[in-house]
Amino acid sequence: MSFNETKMENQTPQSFSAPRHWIAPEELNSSYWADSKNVEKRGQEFHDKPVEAIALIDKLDTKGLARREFLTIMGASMAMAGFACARRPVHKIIPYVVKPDEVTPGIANYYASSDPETGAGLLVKVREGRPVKLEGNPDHPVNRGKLSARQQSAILDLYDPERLQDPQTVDRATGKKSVATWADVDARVVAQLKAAGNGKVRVLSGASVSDSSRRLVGEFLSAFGAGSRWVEFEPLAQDEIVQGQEESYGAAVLPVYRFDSAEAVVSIGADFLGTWPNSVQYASDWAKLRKLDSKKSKTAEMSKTFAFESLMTVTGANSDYRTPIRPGDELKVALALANQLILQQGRSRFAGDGAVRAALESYKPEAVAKEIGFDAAVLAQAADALWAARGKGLVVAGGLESKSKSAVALQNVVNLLNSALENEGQTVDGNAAPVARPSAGFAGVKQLIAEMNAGSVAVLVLHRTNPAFSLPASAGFAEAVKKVGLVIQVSEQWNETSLLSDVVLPDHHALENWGDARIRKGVTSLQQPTLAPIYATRSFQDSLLTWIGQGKLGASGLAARVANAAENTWHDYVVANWKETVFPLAGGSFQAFWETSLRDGVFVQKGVAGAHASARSFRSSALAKTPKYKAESGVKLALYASMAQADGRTSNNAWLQEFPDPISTVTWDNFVAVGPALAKKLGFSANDVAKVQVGSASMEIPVQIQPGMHGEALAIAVGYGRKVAGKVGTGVGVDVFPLVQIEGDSLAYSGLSAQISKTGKFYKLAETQWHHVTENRPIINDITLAEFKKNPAAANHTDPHLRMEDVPTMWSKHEYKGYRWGMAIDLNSCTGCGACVIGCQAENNIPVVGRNNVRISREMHWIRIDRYYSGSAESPDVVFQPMLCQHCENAPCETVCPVLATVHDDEGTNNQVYNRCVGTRYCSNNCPYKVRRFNFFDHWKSYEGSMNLVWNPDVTVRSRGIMEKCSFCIQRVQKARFDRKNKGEKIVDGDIQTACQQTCPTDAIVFGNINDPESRVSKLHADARAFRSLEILNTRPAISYLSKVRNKNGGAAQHHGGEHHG
Amino acid sequence: MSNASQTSPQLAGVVGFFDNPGTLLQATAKVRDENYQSWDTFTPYPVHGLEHAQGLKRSPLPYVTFVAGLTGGTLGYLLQYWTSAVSWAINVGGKPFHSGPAFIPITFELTVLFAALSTVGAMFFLNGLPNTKKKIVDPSITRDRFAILIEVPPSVDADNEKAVARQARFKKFDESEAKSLLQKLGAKDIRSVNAEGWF
Amino acid sequence: MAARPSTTGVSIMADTHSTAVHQDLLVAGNKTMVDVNEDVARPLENFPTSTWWACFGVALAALGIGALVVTTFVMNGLGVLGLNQPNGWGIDIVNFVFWVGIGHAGTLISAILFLFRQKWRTAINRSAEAMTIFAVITALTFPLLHTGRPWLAAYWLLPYPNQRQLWVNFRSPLLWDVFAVGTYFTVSAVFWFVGLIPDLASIRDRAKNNIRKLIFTILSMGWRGSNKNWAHYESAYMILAGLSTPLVLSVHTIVSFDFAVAQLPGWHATIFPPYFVAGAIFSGFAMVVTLLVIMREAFNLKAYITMDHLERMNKIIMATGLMVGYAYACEFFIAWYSGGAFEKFIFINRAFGPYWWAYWTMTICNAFIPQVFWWRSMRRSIPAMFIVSLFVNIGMWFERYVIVATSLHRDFLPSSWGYYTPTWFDWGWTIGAFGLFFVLFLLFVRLLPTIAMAEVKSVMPQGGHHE
Repeated sequence: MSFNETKMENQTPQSFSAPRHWIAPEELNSSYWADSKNVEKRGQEFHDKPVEAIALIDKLDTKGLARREFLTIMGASMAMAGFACARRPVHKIIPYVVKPDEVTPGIANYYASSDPETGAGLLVKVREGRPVKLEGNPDHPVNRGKLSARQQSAILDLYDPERLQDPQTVDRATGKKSVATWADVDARVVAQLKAAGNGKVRVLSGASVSDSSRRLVGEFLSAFGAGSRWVEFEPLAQDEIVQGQEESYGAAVLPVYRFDSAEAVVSIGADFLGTWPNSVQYASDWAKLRKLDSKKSKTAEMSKTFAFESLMTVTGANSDYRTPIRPGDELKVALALANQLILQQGRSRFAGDGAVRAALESYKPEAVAKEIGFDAAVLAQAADALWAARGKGLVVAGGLESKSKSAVALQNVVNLLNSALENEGQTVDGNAAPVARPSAGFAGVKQLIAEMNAGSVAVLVLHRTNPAFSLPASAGFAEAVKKVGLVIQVSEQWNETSLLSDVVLPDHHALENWGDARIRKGVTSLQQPTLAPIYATRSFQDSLLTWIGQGKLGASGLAARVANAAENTWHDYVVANWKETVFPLAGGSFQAFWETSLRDGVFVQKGVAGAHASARSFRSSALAKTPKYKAESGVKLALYASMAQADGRTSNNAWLQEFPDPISTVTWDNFVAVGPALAKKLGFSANDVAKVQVGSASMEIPVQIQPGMHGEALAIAVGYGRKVAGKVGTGVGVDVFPLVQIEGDSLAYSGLSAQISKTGKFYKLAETQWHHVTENRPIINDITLAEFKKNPAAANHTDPHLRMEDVPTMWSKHEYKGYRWGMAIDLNSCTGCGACVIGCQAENNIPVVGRNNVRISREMHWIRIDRYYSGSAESPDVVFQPMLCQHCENAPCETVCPVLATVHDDEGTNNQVYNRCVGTRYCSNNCPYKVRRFNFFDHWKSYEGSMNLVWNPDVTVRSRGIMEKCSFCIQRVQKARFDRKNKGEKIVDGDIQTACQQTCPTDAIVFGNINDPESRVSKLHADARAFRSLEILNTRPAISYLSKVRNKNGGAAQHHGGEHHG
Repeated sequence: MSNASQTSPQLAGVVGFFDNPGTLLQATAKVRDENYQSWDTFTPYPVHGLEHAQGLKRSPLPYVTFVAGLTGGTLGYLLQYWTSAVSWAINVGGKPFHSGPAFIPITFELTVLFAALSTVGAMFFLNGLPNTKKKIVDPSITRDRFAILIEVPPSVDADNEKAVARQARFKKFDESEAKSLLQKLGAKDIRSVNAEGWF
Repeated sequence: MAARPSTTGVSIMADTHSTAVHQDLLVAGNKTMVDVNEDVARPLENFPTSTWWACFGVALAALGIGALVVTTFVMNGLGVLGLNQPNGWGIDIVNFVFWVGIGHAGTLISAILFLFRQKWRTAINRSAEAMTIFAVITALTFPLLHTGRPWLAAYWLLPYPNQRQLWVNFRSPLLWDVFAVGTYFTVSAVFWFVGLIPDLASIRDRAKNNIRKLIFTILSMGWRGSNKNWAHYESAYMILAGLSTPLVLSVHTIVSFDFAVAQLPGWHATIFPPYFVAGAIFSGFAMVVTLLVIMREAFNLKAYITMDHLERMNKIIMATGLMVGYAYACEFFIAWYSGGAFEKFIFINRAFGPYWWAYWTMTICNAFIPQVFWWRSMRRSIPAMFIVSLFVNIGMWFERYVIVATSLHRDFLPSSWGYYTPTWFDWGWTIGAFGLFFVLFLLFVRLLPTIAMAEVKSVMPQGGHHE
């Protein structure tokens, strides 16, 4: 096919012909190519993959390969040819003599897969064999087509040019690394493994949700005798929940919470909408009970959410009643709540339970409320709400910021409450969790470190973990590991731990690897490669199999069989394991079962998945260790996982570094969040650098003044300050893992007594929002549920100028026959999580601009989440407003563009014509929403080498000097148009999902044809809550917002003036 | 010098110099009454009233300006209308394709531009600028002197009755007569100018 | 008024301080027409003084800096300037408006004063027109080079026919600018040249040096001073003056549309056109005074640019200063009176927000300092008027800064509020603009007659006998 043949022209520097596709203009003149460095530079992007792909295919051909495998490689090699051609001479490609049916250039293929970290179902958009976008798999019962910002950004890691590309051997003394061949490395490893001796091999990895991997590792270790253990460690593991479950109910499981039926929710330091591993599912469940229909306003019901938290989280920001507390006070609050409910109000069957009474006695609600400094009435209200909704309520706790030394005790009280309120077995489902798995908490690592120190570890295999960074120095991992004979790290990135290893083996990226995941009982998802490995990488599992095979290590079971068989790849192992373990649940022909599962990406076992839970009985004994109430004082520190960085494993992902934190809007740095009161007391102003000290450890870090934080609370995000991460991630922010305290067998991240003092230094944080109140402007509206019931349109009358429908126009308006695109955004559903921001970035080729450009407000995100506070600075209300091009009918930007570079089309969208734009920036000046983004530099140049493969071929990459902005994903509109046209049909509602809408966990964003009265969007536009931002200007936006409704008493529609929290 | 000039076959005319505009004005009026066919005055700056004294008609330039202005304005508006509403009508900011009020500024500017440029062009044309044929009468004129030049009328073809008749209507040129006239009118320095002197 | 017995001219010698008699004196020192030629032509015919070389060197250096800066950001992207998301425009547009404003006095003096028969203009109109043209040239560099893709903006803003039928947006004030400033530049240049012709001729006629003679022969287009020519010439000149008058008013009106037509609070105001025009005349006259004060010293033209001329201009400066001050006050009143929340905020923010310093610099320099001209002694004191004129120029620059920067940095959505700080690239470009202007002006004073000799002669006592 000509598509490829054109790419086959020989473009060696000697006989130069200008490349048809080029990255930078200079590539068009031969002198550029004459410089061997340049040729090489391009070369590095793709190595010699095409060649190796051939080799691989030859190999596969001999034994007849699986259809998809063939496809993948076919597509991949085609992509390589495609991309290599623009950059370097291509010797071999696979011409489409026989084109595989599935691949058509220009048409995307979607492959179902799953994310090995969280087990979320993925739909991978592949163009010419090149994954370009991740979307959630709608068939996956857990994330139901939705992804978080972090999951969206995983695609960028795949193309990170700084990924490990070859096996490395490291001189541990000097940390000097040198490239090795797989053969040498394997030989060395196998030799050491054989020599290891009984029980002297350890595998340390992140928590794994893959049954196949678990089985393989188990079998691998079985070759080294009893004592050879597998240790899992996750800094963000919710092991305190698991442990609490074990103590309260006897089974160590991570329960599944059913927020979609929780009418009253109390979160005690649990950020289930933001940083919890399953936040996507929980947010979408939670939002189901926040949807309102103005037509049924009289009978409207909405869940009620209470949050007690030590820092402002997405969950707190979205709750109806938010109470700031000190880090470490979570247990007190939980006990006070229990006391209120069970003792004061004498409710529930535990009212008579002596053990319970004994534990709760001393936690008088008034006393606790007084000590922490909030109104005890909140506890009463919470208790009432929970009791009123018993069986349909939920109390949750857990997460890094509440992981104090009393974290497990907290869980027990929470379990008590849920049992007392009969939520256990209803909204708390202990059975839905997959089979019990070892906790990924600190205990295991602690023991491992001890063993290493004792010299009883000969070989340590590290996989998807970075203990040298994420463990506090006091844990002594670095010293202990020195005593290990051979340290093997299997990793995608070169990181801190690599320096402590002997061999560092490049791992596949999730999109290059096979695998499976089980995060719910009866829900098993498959992970399949969507392109051939870009670099000379090998999956962790393949390595294990190779070693087992080469070393004849005598591993047990399937591993041995596969390893010694002709087909000895990890793929074969997964297939075999599924055949043995999953297939029996389905029946039928295995081939059919396997292909269906691959296509769907997930196998759901009827009857088991989502089966109704059964209540477990609470053991009061779990409360035995509860301490007596004792008032404390002093500043306490909470470490938390930020939405962007989590534990810092993705530091080298520029999208995430530039992802504005939903609450602080800070990018590219972490900071110590200080409440206004405390800041005033200590004389801090924003961007001062503070010295924070916990015990002996201390560090300097910039201050962010965070409304809604307790007067004695500090909070700092972990996952920053990586020392060995790469060009993007190294040295961004401050590493606070050293502040983590070891409390017995667990780590305390919260409730740490801290001193904070001024340094007199100044450091400007790169915020995307500088001003935080609306100054009473008609931008957003919020009302209480009571007001809504009275009059659903109440909010829209908070400003007399709103509602401009009836304003006469001086001229006849343009008519929009046919389609007219519009959007509706429900502020009541939007949690501000920011998944849409990264979804849009991935879809629309939005570059990153770097910290300094963000500092002077030059960020490029087409959709931003505006966050406004109202009420008092100590305990403000929060409302989020996704702000993107409003596609105004009377667009102010269009009128002023001298060259007609931004104009309306006949479907009501405001289009930006990049080629015509000369960059006067007048349009941006005249845009009341300031949603236009100007390319001050050739930002795309920051995408180096292989990273250029992430560009979405359906969207122009913008050059310097031109304006850009949200296009309503016009490429998706066009695709839907053509798909329908080919069938001779019209576009119907639901055909088009914009990138932001597609990934929004709470379905807050709806896009569609507002000329069609039946479409969801036009129904929402007609809703009484609908209003348009700055309607007073008569710009007539195509986007309607639905006003925020808070399920709380009193407080007429919030005035958004408030005092200045800037 | 006057003798020499009398014998000259290619006498071109007689020039007389005055040292202030007042005397020039009076002299000019007289010369005008003499009804010579071709004569002119020269001054370092525009002397007010001289055009009347010289009996010049009012300059036609204002008409040129008016017509050119109209043309410019019309074309300007039509250009805007045609490009915005006919050639490629685009919905810009919800405004009508034919956004009359928005077209006014440019219409005005083009009116002025056309008017100004045509006026100057016409002025050059009427004044025969750039002038390559006629040399200057005397360098001092652009400094501080005033002069009247009475020219020998262009010779006409005897067969051309019209021309002959036309020439007959004017006073016949005679060098000495012209000189004495200028003398009488108070010219300071009177010269015959020969063709080779300045043609 | 010029019809005075020459004795008056004699009675007043070079000294121009005191007595009301010579309010109307247009040329002092009993000069003859010959002297006029001598004095005006002297700078052209002698080798430049060391002072001139010094000034020229400085100007050239400044221009060099500008060129360097411009090259840098044209190569690398506008990001090196201080511009950002709320502040799409910065001091590049400030400078544009500033220089266009400067450019107004020239045409005003030569056209409007001509129509009003203000004979005192004759001494200064030549240099004022030159200033206009150079100022407009300087101004034009800004809107062009501050676009993202100047190499395209250079011609894409013109409605030229092309195969794709891509036209321009005639609804955009920026396009109005292209036509307004373009027309203004063309007409001013033509006007200037027409005025020059007779003087070019007299330079030609006195030229000893053959090359100079040749050049000026060509430039003067063979002008002979024939009265038949003078008749058409005068008519044309009068018409051009008549056309330039509405033109000069329209130009800054349209420049003000750049802001007034946008809906940004602080820009969207109907008062802008008159306010901008007044401001333009204000700053323009200030610049003329600055230049003339230097020129008459440097080239000893005191007899032609008399204290009366300067005093008249100072009166105009004061008058327009009052208008501008009124506009400032009026804006605040309207903001309060309209009740528009955004409008109110932006003006309070101007005076007391992060940019208060710019606002108060503007107010003090423009509204208060010129008030010293209520005192005649001040109006007639060279140092006083020089300092005031400088302050007015500074003040007017800050006026544009206030309008552009403070209106943009906090508009409708508080979430997108920001702050604009010019980088040294911005400043380098600003310096470069002054360099460009003064290079051109210094060349002008060396190469062309800086005073309209023919016109001066027509108002000299000796020239006065004919009415």
